[in-house]
Amino acid sequence: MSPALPSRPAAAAQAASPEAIPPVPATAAYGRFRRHRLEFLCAGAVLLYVTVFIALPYAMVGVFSFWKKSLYTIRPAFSLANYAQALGSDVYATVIGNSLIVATAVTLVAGVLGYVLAYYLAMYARRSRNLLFFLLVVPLWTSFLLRAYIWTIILGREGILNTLLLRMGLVHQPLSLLLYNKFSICLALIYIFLPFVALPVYAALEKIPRSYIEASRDLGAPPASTFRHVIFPLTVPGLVAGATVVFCLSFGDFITPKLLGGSSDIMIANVIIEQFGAAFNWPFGSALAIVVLVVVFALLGMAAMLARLTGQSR
Amino acid sequence: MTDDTVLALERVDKRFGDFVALDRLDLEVRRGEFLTLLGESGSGKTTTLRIISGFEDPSDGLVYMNGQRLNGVPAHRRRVNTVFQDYALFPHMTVGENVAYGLRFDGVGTHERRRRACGMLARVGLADRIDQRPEALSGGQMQRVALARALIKEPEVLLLDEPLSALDAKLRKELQLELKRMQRATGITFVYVTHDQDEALVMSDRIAVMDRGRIRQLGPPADVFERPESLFVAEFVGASNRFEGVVVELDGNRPVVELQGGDRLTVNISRTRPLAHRDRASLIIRPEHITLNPGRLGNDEASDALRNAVAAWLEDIVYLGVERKLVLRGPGGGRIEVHERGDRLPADLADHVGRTVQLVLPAEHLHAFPADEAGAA
Repeated sequence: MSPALPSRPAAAAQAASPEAIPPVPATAAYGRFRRHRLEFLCAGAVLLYVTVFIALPYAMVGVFSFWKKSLYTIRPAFSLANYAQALGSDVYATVIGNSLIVATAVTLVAGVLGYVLAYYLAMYARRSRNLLFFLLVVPLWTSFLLRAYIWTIILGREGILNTLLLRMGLVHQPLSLLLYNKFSICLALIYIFLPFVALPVYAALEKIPRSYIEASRDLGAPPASTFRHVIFPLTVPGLVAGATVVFCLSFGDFITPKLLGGSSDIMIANVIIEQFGAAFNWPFGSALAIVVLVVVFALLGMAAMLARLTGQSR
Repeated sequence: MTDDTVLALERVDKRFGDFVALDRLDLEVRRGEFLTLLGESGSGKTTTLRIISGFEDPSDGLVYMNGQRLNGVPAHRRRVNTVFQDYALFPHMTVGENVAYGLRFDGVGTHERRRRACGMLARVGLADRIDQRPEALSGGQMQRVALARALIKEPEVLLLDEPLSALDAKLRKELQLELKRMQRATGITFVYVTHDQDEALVMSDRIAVMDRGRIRQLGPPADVFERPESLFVAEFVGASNRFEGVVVELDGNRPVVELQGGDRLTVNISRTRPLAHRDRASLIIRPEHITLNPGRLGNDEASDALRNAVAAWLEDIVYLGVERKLVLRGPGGGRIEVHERGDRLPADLADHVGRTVQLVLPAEHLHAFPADEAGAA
């Protein structure tokens, strides 16, 4: 290049070479910051998010759980009385047990159904795939409350299902066991949370190259063995991710039991909400929340460990 | 069908909607041979492979293995294994588990599976990688694992679908020889699909040149390369120069063709269909077979004295190491390429760039085909 030209490349080289950086604070740390500016920015955003939305609220709940309630105020203290109350009474253990049963049932059924649905969508549906996919996602656009409430209309005494059964002559008087029990809670939660399993599993299935399945067949595997040894193991991460979300969300749900559950079907989230609301016992509510947190973490940890162990022994 | 036929396809058709992938294809594969299906994409070579493996059913026609009908037998029950283009190694299994996978379905126990996988991996030089994940391997190593995984099943026929296409040139050359050695050592029949004619020439016992769902020529590499039966094969296999002309003389089985520029060339007889007087003909000759007439370099008055000589304008000389590629313009203005070893060329050749030189096109290497053949198929 002729030297007469205004040399842009030279200017660029100057900016890139470390010697050319003006002697602002030319420390190593500053240089590192300059080079990884975007990375630092992202990390900062994550840190901010985690602090504001996760660490602080939980810290506050943790602190409250040691406080004391006196009449209509709460005051700072270091008391384990709240935990004693939460762990000492069978009532709360039963309610937590209730929540566990519902969450486990919902996770299992939604897991199986969601998997089957995703499998059909990914492997068999061709022309109808987009439509089915749309139908799977579209309920997510409406309110959670609405999707839970709609089941009272379907399952109620004067509801759609009972009317249908009566018309068909299958029953002679409306069934009342459809609504306001664990069955109706589970049904609604399964319906609501099904896409949370189906979507990650579908994504995992989509990612499996056709040649893996053909290679398995080619090596002598009948279809069931191909599923067991190749397809399923490759979708386990998606399934576990989906199932975890479903478990946590159904365990912590309080709307569905309130709308569709009977008096004996309250779940732990209902109790906690009540402590923060009507009962105005934030310290006790916080203690309960911490207990639930520990239980859920323990369960998820065990599940993860189990998954890893079975993964290794395969 | 003879005794040494391991696999036979009879009048196999395959249509995908309106697209005809295979058009009444007949093919017999001999036991223990290395057969290559050579063709461009869309010529039907991969479809042929997929019909043999059972991934596709023929629209019509029969497939036999060892005299038994294979139609309707599901892929997992065929004694045929495939090395896939993308290797298709299972990412959630170790190298050893990948190789041993197929034995699971032959009722082989866990320990025996591992022992045999280990032995197979040793044969491809990867015994120390048995407990690694496939993702830790290089492309060439993955290719070897894929080969081991298929060979451990001791198939009647091993199908290879462009297994080297993802590798760089040097490694590809190495693995070509290794595959060939493996094939000889095991005695297993290989059916190999490629669009790379060099690969086909290096490895094959026989080559089937495919075009639009049919086999245009089937024979040993030397036959396909040196005695092409059609204009298509002549142009597809190996680099070639093409001249157009008209038959002006039928001298026994050596017709004489007059080029557009007026030069007359004695040619090899067409093998597909005899040439008649006044027929338009396409002539094909390989760059290696054209020689420069050294004595008469640049001396164009004497051209008539020499048989099968053509005057051409030397445009460029490309240095290729041992060889030189000469780029020339023929009498009709068409491009001509000549490959010649550097030491066989006159030292002062560079002075002739931009001038006319004389080329000799030996009759035995000059293949003539009816000119309308290309379009007719």
